Amino acid sequence: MRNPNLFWLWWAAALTLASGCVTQNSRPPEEARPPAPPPKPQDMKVRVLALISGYERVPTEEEFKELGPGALAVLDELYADASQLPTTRTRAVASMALVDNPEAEKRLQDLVADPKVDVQYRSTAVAALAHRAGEKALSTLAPLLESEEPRMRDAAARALGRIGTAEARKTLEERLGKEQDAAVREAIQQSLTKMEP
Amino acid sequence: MRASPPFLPAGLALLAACGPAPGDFGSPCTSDGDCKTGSCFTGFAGGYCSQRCEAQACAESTRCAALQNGSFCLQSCTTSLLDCRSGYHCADVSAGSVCFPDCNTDGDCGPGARCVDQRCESGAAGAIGAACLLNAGCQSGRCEIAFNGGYCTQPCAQDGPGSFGKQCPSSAVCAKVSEALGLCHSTCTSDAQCRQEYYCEVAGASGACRSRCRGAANCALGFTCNRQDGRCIEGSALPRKTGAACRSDGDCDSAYCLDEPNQQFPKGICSADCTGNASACGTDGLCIVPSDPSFASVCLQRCQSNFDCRSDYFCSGVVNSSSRVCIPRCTAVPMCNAPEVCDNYSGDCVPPGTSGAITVERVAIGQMPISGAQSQKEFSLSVPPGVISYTIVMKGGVGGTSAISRLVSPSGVLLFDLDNYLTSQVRILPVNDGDFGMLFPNSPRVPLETGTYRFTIVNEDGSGQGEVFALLKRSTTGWVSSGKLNVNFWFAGLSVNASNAPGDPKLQEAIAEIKRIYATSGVTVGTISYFDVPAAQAANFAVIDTIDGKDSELRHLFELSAGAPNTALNFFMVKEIKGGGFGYTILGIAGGIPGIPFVQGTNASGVAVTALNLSQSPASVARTMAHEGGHWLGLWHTSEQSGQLHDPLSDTPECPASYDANKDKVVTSSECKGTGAENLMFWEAGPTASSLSYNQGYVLLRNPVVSSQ
Repeated sequence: MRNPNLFWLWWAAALTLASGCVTQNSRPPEEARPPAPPPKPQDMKVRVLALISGYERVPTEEEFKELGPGALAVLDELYADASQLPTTRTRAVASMALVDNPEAEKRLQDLVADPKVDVQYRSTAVAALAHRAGEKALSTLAPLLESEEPRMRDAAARALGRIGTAEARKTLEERLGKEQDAAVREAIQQSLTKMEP
Repeated sequence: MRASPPFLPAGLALLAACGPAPGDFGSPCTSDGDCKTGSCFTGFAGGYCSQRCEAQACAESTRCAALQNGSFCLQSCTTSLLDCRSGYHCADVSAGSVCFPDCNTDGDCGPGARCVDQRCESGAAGAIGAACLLNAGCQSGRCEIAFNGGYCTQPCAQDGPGSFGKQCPSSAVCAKVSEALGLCHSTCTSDAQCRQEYYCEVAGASGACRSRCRGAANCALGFTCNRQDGRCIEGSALPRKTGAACRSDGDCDSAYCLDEPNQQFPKGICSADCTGNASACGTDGLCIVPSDPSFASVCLQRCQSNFDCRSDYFCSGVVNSSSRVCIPRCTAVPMCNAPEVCDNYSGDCVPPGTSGAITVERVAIGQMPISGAQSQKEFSLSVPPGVISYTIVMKGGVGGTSAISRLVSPSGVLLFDLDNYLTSQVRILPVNDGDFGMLFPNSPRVPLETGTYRFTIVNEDGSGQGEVFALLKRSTTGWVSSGKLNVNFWFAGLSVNASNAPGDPKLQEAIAEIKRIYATSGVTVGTISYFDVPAAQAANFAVIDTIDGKDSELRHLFELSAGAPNTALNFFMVKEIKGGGFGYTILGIAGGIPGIPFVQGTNASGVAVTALNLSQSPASVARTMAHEGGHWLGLWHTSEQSGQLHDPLSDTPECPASYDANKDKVVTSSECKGTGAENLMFWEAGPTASSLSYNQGYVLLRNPVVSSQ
């Protein structure tokens, strides 16, 4: 008695068809979905990009640890690739703070020290280096408070605030009296406030 | 009995003696007859007045604990002295605290904990998946007592705007447990690897050991417990019964399946041929008789509300009958009863005519005094006919963490309960910074009722006075399929500014893309206004370095909207937003899900967007703006990074963990091609993420900021 494909015809007779109804975006039924493809050899670049491609999500040290030291080469490559979006390149530099490879510290130091590097990436490297090396980075970062570029001074001020040692505090206090840029002064003050016991 | 500590002032000692009134939750008892609550749980010293929570939800301020000898509601508390009776104290469980007996032996503390000076402390704490009684028994510091015998776990999904939980340890997997939460579960490949009263749910690289339900109250609203296998199933139809999903006749007791390929019933339904025999449908079904007698009459599942139906169906009235039945949403098949027409956004049949003219009314609800560790107050909101949505707002710069802790519909349906969040079907998350907005409905599956809603607001660690009000959105026709969204652009430290923005080709290209994206949901971008962040602050806000807390730059940036002369959605374009403390770039961030509409100058009055890519890729910046604007208007990620968690909407494509081809616990745009990567609200900023579903449009069109065309 069932009439395949015709069920809705009699329903329509009872309830009258509405015009203009559209089916769209219906979730495919479970049974129609293809099975998951078999695992393939892990592609490091794909995995690194998966970690740094969220709108809002910030990757963690644990996640980078799972990738191992090889992730650093991918971060290097992403940063150096001018065809990548600036946010992707910046994220690559920042993620050097997390990657499970001791060489990352040297890489960040090189970026910080190289005046030819765009300030966008240099200032990011400052924050990443402070996160990665902590107090050890003080000697590299403190001189940046004298940089001609306000954004570098700003980044250095915030980085010293995160390092949070007495020496970092003293360096910031000394700079506060000399700093002319209002935004950088604000950054120094915020860092000093954060460092208060 | 434990004596009051010697340092306790006399006045507080008196308070300590108060505890619950006789017969109330947590009071002593020897039998059920001693308890106004209905049940006496004798597993705790002196008895504990309680209520069973296998079949019905716990009362307000109590929390369901699936103990070994039954599920009982335990009294929630914030401080032992005021809440718990003598000999009991406030102990941490799940994401809160309950009144728990002072211990005498390690055994009193449950697995993983030990008794020290009548209090339970961490002992040989259990790993994810271990049994527990208190949070102290778990390495993760969290024992989920709603799971059978307690379950050591930790949150692993977004637990607030801007908060994304922790990654699960390698031996565990993240799994959704309600619309509000994901928790880490121990991994498995078969039931045998899970504890008793648990089963292995396989999804993706490995399965998760999940607690079997003991009754309907263990399942989320809109789900039913199949007592035979302890699994929660969508809708109220049990397997093989009328309304249950089926692929073929063999899946149904009636040997009669109206399947999807042939009869267009989404995922099929068990039915029966009731031609000439209406009683063939039994009590669960109603016989639908076609006007053309050459076709069979069939049984459809009876329902009271949408919660009885699966998400692809809704509870519809029937011509010439007072009964209601589950039928497919009209977007799946053309089936509206003339003169009604199909509202594609909700999938419901609606009165004929065009989308109604919209008005928004602000209704004062009350004041919320906030002080100390925790403040709580109940409010009510009357929703008159003609209203299509409401937004509850609390504002006042109160700080701390706020949440709507309980929401009850006019018909008495408990839509949300923070203490028993596992059973909630409505997604409401606590917000940092105190002030918040909450849009209802945020899914067509949980429709609006006329009448009085009751809700409770809680705040922790805030201060001051919150002003609570509602924005009632009305449509003259009772439904809406289009609207206008006015937007403001604010610029800080960019080459583009309020003066040159109208002629800036990159920005205008981005705006054109935003217009295109929102137009697919019936939302037209209306008046666009441009503002500069005041010069004195522009340099400071050019890079947003702090995003959390009352003094964050992000909050202060949003507060600049106080200068806006309108009620538009604010897009704050800055050079960069930094997060994580190591210079990481956040592409965009919304002030809330949803934000606070109609009120400028709050911590939730807009979205911030990194403009770093504007010159190279205006389209990518546009997608970020539209994505964050979507959050602000009330949309969630369709799939989170793990593939285990999805939004509350039934028509948005879900990319499950099984699509994680390289098993890295991340579902990416390339892995989710065709199953979600194309959606604007996919978690990842992929190159094609710009589509919106009808149900997403339903949410957007209900936000009060989206006005009449």
